[in-house]
Amino acid sequence: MNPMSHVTKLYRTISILFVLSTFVGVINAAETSLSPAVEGVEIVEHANALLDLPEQDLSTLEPAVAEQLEKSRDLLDDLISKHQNNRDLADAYGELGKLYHAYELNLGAEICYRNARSLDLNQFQWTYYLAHLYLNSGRPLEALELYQQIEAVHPQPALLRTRIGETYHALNRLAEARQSYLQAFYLRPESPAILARLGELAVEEKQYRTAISFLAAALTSQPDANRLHYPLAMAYRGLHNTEQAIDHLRQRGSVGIQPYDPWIEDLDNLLQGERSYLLRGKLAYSAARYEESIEAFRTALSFNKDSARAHINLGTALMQTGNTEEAFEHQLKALALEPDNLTIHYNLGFLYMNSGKYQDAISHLERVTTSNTEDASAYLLLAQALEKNLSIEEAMEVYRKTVLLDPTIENAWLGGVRLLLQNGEYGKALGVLNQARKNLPNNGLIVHAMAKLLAASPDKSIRDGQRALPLALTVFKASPSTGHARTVAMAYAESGECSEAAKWQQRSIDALNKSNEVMKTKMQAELKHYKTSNPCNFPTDAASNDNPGP
Amino acid sequence: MSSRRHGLFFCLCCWLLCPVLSTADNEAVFKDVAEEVGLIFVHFNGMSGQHYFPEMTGAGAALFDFDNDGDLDIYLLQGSMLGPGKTIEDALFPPAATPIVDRLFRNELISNGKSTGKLSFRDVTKQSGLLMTGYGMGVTTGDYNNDGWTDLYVTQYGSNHLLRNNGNGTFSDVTESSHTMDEQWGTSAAFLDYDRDGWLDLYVSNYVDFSVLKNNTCYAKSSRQDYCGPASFIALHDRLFHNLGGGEFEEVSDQLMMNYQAGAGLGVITADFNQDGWIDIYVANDGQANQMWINQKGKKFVNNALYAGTAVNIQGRAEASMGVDVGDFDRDGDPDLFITHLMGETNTLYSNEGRGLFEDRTLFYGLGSSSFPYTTFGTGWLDYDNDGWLDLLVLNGAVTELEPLANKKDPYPLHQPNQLFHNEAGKGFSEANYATSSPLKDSYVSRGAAFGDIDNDGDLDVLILNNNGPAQLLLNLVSKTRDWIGLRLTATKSRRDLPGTEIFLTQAGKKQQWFRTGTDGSYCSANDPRVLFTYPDHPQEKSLQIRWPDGSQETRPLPPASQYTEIRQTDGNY
Repeated sequence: MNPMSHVTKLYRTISILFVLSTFVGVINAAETSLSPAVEGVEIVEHANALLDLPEQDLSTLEPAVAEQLEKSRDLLDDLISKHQNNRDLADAYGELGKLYHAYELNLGAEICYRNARSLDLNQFQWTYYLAHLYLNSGRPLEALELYQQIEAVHPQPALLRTRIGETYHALNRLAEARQSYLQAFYLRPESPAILARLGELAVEEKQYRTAISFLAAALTSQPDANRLHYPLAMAYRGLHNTEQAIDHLRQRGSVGIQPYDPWIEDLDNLLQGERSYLLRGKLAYSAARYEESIEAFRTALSFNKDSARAHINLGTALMQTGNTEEAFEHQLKALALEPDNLTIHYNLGFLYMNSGKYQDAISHLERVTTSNTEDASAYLLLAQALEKNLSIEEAMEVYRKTVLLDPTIENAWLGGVRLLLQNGEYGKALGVLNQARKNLPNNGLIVHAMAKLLAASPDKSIRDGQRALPLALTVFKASPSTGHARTVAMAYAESGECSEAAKWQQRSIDALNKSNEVMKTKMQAELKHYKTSNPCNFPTDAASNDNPGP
Repeated sequence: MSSRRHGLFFCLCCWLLCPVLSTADNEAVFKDVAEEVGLIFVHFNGMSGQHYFPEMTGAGAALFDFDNDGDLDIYLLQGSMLGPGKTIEDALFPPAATPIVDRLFRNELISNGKSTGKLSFRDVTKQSGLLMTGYGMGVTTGDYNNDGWTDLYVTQYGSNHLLRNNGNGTFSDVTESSHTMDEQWGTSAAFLDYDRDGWLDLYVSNYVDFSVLKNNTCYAKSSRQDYCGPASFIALHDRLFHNLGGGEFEEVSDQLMMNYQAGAGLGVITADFNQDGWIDIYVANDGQANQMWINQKGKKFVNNALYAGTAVNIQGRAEASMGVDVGDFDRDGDPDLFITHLMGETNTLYSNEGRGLFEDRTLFYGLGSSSFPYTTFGTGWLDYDNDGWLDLLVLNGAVTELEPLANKKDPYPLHQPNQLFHNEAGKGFSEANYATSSPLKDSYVSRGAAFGDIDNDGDLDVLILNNNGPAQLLLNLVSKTRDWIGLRLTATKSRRDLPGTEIFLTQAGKKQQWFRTGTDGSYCSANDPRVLFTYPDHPQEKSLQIRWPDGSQETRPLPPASQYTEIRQTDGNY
């Protein structure tokens, strides 16, 4: 099996399994609206003016989280009842605020931070957290005021300058944003986050050359921050440098840069519970940080050893690191917990398939396809398992079902074609390729298989050099390779253009990996045939020994 | 054809026909008149506590003149129960009325060819034969068979439906015979004539592969169960149907849309973004890069969104795109795009810098932080105060539970107020305060919004479909200080509306402002096909340059002020 298809399948599996929405966090982080009773309350230093904390409905939260929040709240209430000094009470409010902040219970977080500030204005960390909360809730003016309060006391930190720059940026006060970012830059010129902010700002200001300088420097400093290729591309586009723009668009990804902020990162360390660690595991998995995702899923299991999702995801992540044995163990534990869970059956089918236990794979995959007759991915895997198990007729039938369910799955079309070719049914194979091409007209593998079959089928009756040639040339143009050049040579030969065939064959041989002596010998024999025979059609005996299809 | 009753209002001053609705609060921009004009509709989302994804995503609405009497009628999409074995007894919010079907309301402003002088609506669903019982999502309008009567294409979480207007007040479901069936989760759709053959083709955006049988359980960061997002599911392929004429379509998505990659499509709009004379398609995808399908002279489409600068925001981040609208907000003669997004993101303004290249100018025009706390779906450009500059209305409503509301045990804690942004003469936008936009501060879970001149008085009114809430009809109450121009662009022979027509207001050959005809845009909704704009200064120096969907062009003098004028294509083939 194509190793890339493993990745695709695993990703498919994990994307189905992971049940935590990626955006819910963002959404709740943005929630800010305060009740009228809260808005407008003056912050004073006297404890009597403290704002009332809302009662949190903990009943709908995961027990571990509810317990954590309850204990922290009890601790605060205990301190209040003991009339602790303002400093200790401020810390207690602040710490509870961080906990609410971490769980995106932002109303509670805001009140806690405001109370902490009321009790002890000298502790600027609570002001910082509150400003961050405001900035990320679409309240940049309030954030700016707080950041400036900190700045009056602590003017130097680059991080603070960066945050102030971000706040001005959100307010579209671009000149002030630039000034703040530059101040941060002078303090920490090597910071990729600051370079990136300056670059992004310059794109907005249409200062494209400046933008390119900053963004390129940021990327040099942090090459995996591939999202920066996009503003960089836009800067090159602005300078009418289309080639560079397209080159950077090709490199763009989803990894951005955040300034290193230990205070904000600390919030994540407060999160407890299975669901939180499942989310962490998912994020790490998505970023291909498999060891980190395994660790997170193991922690999720420590909160709930009977979490089928944690077992499933841990098993999937373990697969990625090659730990098949433990991957099996966790999928089987998950199955014991949820015997009807089709995802687990699919995963076990996948694992057994890759362990060469095709009968076991078939058994699990049939369980999936019986219960969900529309799962095209499961049908495809089942067809592949049946093919490996040499149950050819059944495999053919399942490939057929797969393309009926989803005609865009190239491997299903090619699997069916492969079986027909192995069975010597070249005409039928061509028919299937015709259907496949209707559904996937731009698919290189399908077009190539078709070109090769039309150019060099062992069954001469279906050969058609005139049809094969443009197909072969199209594939070569899109993806120049030795194999594709050889197919062009075959098509020329079938079209009666022997000298062109020889030229392309030579080109193919020249590009061949030198260590591939067997292939080289074979291709040189073909070259000799093109040079010496007329007509020079690809010989049928060679065609029979050559894989004419995918 | 001969039975068509072309609207009398096209040749009469609409001030004469305008209904009399008092404007007690002269400062208010809009007044919700739904109840007083008989538009009684409450959306039913069928929620039963399972957090099924579709229940908080719908639905849309259409403004269209189904009976050709010269006023806009209303079609509203309805939900239904979701989940195997669920009945309405399981619904957390029982339906306000039964049967639970989409509703068609006839506008009685004009009756028997005469103005009644009174805006009112009558539910004619039963008489129309429209008994759409599926889970409604979106609707688009267009005359697909060139018979002069506007048809409907309705998307659902489930099977979509092409509903042919029979011209006698009834509709027939012709989905099967027209080959426009799509059983995926359809959202927004658009009729367009991409190959200039005179027949309206159809683009249908599809969302994600959600199934109530495979309902994922999702959680907020607080660990509370919540609605899932699109990242939890596989994105579905959109579909492009080519109209073959004779009432049949052929799906051509794979053949024509080069290197197609599925996105979770929610919004669709069509316009000639690169100004090459061929209509293009823009798809707003939720959480994935948006697509801008540039028409290659009717032969194929190439997605150029990334290079054009409209796929992602300025930082390169794909946003959760929902609604979309196009308009020339800066009056430089080309189409600009506005896309709505999730809270925690900004809505995004892509300014057309010429040659089909756009720049994200959201912050520059002051539309950033104001949208950050809201999730927005429906949207539209409208010059609400008739000052000649396009303003913006955005319809808000969260998709995951809002903590302060949930904490107060609000039974449906997603509602948010809507927002109106005033265009400061092309220099920026400022949010209108609530005193001047009172119905907008009502907190609903707003989704679809259709824009049109429901009372034919020369300004745009807004029909809002609130998920699990009442439909609102916001009548524009701003008193007219300037004249206006209203246009209906129609075909030579069939006299159907011609979506995809571009109108340029020009002076001495220089394009000063761009307009288009089309009913698509916003979210899951269909707008008034007519064009409405402020009568320009120095009218004697101005003219209208019209580029018809078949590529032909003609120049016309400005039509009379403050009335609707029908302009038929001079030499069209259809």
